[in-house]
Amino acid sequence: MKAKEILGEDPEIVLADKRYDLISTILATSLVRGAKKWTLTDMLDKVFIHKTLGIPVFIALFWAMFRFAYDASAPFMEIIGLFFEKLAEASAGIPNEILASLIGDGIFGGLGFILTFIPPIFFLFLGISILEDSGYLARAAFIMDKIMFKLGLHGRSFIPMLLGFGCNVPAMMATRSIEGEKDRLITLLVNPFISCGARLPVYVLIAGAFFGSMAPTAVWSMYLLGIVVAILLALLLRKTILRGEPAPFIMELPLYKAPTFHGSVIHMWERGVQFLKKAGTYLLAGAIILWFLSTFPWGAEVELSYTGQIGHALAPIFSPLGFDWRIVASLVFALLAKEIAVEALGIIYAVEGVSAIEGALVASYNPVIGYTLMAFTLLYIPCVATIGTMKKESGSWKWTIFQLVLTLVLAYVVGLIITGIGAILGYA
Amino acid sequence: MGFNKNVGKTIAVYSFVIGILYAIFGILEILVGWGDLIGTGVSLIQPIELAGVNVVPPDVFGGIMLIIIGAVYLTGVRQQARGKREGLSFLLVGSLLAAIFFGVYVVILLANGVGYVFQFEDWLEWIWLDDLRPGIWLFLLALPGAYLALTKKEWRE
Amino acid sequence: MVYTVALIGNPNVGKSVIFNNLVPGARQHVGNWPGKTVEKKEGKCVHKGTELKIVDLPGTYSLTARAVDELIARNYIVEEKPDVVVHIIDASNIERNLYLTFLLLELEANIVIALNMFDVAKEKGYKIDVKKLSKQLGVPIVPTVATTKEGMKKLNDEIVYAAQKKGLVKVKPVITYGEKIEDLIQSIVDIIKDGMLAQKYPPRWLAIKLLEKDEDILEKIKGNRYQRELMEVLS
Repeated sequence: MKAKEILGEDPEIVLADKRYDLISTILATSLVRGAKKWTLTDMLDKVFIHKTLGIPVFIALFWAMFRFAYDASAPFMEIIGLFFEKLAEASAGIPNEILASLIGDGIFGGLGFILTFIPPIFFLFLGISILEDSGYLARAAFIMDKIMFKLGLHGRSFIPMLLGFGCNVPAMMATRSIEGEKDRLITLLVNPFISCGARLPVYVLIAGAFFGSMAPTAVWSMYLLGIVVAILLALLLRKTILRGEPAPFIMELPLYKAPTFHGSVIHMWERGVQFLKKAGTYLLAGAIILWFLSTFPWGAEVELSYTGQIGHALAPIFSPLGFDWRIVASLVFALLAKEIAVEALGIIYAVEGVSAIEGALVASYNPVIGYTLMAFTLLYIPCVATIGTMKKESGSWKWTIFQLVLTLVLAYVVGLIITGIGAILGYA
Repeated sequence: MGFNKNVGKTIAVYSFVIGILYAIFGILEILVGWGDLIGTGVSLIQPIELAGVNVVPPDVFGGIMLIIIGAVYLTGVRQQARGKREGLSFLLVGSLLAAIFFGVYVVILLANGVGYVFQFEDWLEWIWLDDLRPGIWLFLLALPGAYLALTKKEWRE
Repeated sequence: MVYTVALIGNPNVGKSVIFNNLVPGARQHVGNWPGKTVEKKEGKCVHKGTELKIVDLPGTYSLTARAVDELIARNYIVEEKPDVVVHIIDASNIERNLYLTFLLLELEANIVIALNMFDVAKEKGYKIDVKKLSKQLGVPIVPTVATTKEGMKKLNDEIVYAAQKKGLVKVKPVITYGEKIEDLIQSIVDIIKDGMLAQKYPPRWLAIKLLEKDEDILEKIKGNRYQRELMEVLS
């Protein structure tokens, strides 16, 4: 007396069909559809989901959004930076020397630098909210789904991946809407490779130092590298430990509607506030710890401080990549939040200001090492906030640790590849 | 008046012109910006200036986007000429894209203005006229089409 | 006495607007569902002297065990047993939305339907015979336009009425799935009806979930004495 035999098919399917049948029957008597009006939504969808134009339009809209997020926020970043600079200067007047240093260098200097990244992250989330509220994002996910399916990803992974360009913390939280544990897990594991806003200052610094006018291209290449690695890893996971096809993607395409300023700002805030919370906690703690480890023993040179000691201890592991103790030390601190790497390099070289740090970098390393460092920063262990989010969202230490190891190993391997290519091209 | 062949032919010509203009300036932006992209600093054509102001910014990707906008306008031409209301979709979306890019470029211009006012390092040599790129003034030409596509509800019957 | 009212519906049907209509901002409370990172919105309000606690369930298309949001919504209804479940439907997309209604009927929830976005449906040229639909589904239906608060008063009335009526009238399943399936459902109900699970959850619903090989329910029957008998019918 087996169910499938009696029904002729999987009971789940039969039940679903029956429900839809009943819906039709019921509606046949209680719903009268008028002449199908050609709505604004139909008009817009003709182009947005067009076979050939759909993807170019998608690219254009997202390019515009990223341009808005990064270019329009630039002066505001400087304003915030200026604000904290003034605060740092003011705190030099505090009588207690250690306290003055803690507040001036540690808190205002360290944390302030990180807070300058609020504008691009928030602008990006604003852009995403506008696209979402207008109804377009659903179409974008729909378009991406075809491609993502082939890459072993679920169409619903699109929005979390997109959010990752701002901050991985809200991005990973957004994976809740993904059905299917495997799909969700793959998206979670792969998300940190999407280059978040925090890594940008590191790229900008290094690229600015080594690559001159090609700097923007070098920075873009990091974003591209992140996406490529994410895709390849997703494919690999699909074929090996997380086998299976992605769950079918059924999604309602909502009607288009003009987004309201108020609504979009609220959505932006909901996501942006995750980054602020991270800043308020991990980054603040990180800034203070970093300050402590590099200022003590008090009065010692950076190389002899705790920071320096840690760097020296780990340096041998990274010498194949051309990283010396200074880089290693700053990478260790970047574990707290990747933005900290810049600040850390500044402290380690005992210089202040971006141009000074750039100068120090060029003096000590060649472009290949610079590029390797950029790639390493992109790929290695995600920041503490992200690790915490991974544990929360995946609910397991096993996968969180797996991600830690995976990212570190990948970063190292890619680093070796880049170093290798560099060697072939003639750099020692 | 519904959307018929007579109206359609006029709209088709308009879409064609706007589409071609976007495409042309898109290509120009690519040519001017090519040098920056591949790092040689030498572009395929000289920067285009008008009274000392840079009219076409070097921007390969920006240029590609302009071409995409042009493509949307151009795709609608055939259906519009035939008086098919489906063609209006392309005019509508083309206008929308043009408006979005206009908006984004204007916001960036204003933001740059803020940087200039504060006299931050990166903005000391900024000329606001340089930021008046094709993406901005081409939209002014596209405006009538946008207006008609949005307001002429009788065309959608 | 305070009645608990759960709001449920597909994403983008105006559920948040209705929640905001029912509960003024100051009395809203946002937290997390216990042990999960999904946001939980709830609030209290008073209508005609009756106090209501409104809980906003995650917006979902269905109630499978496959997605975290859906499981949260489903578990809330079946474990906390709210006095009323307000199912918010997008009238302009009624076919898609009714799927969830059927699932809620299976759960034997005390349903009131808010037929929202009624204005959009009208614009689309739809004409809905609300009385007939209500009779066919066996639940009260209130057309609403949440953004203009049209129908909200009537909705409030129906919610209070349904809450007071709960348990007084035995809800008979109006929706049946055809002889073959109903027979199967009945045979499964016969197997489990004396067990502990059937005391806690509606037996018919359990039977349907078992037929669907629902992961969560399958997990729950593990170790039960009738498990083997069940697996024979199911596989």
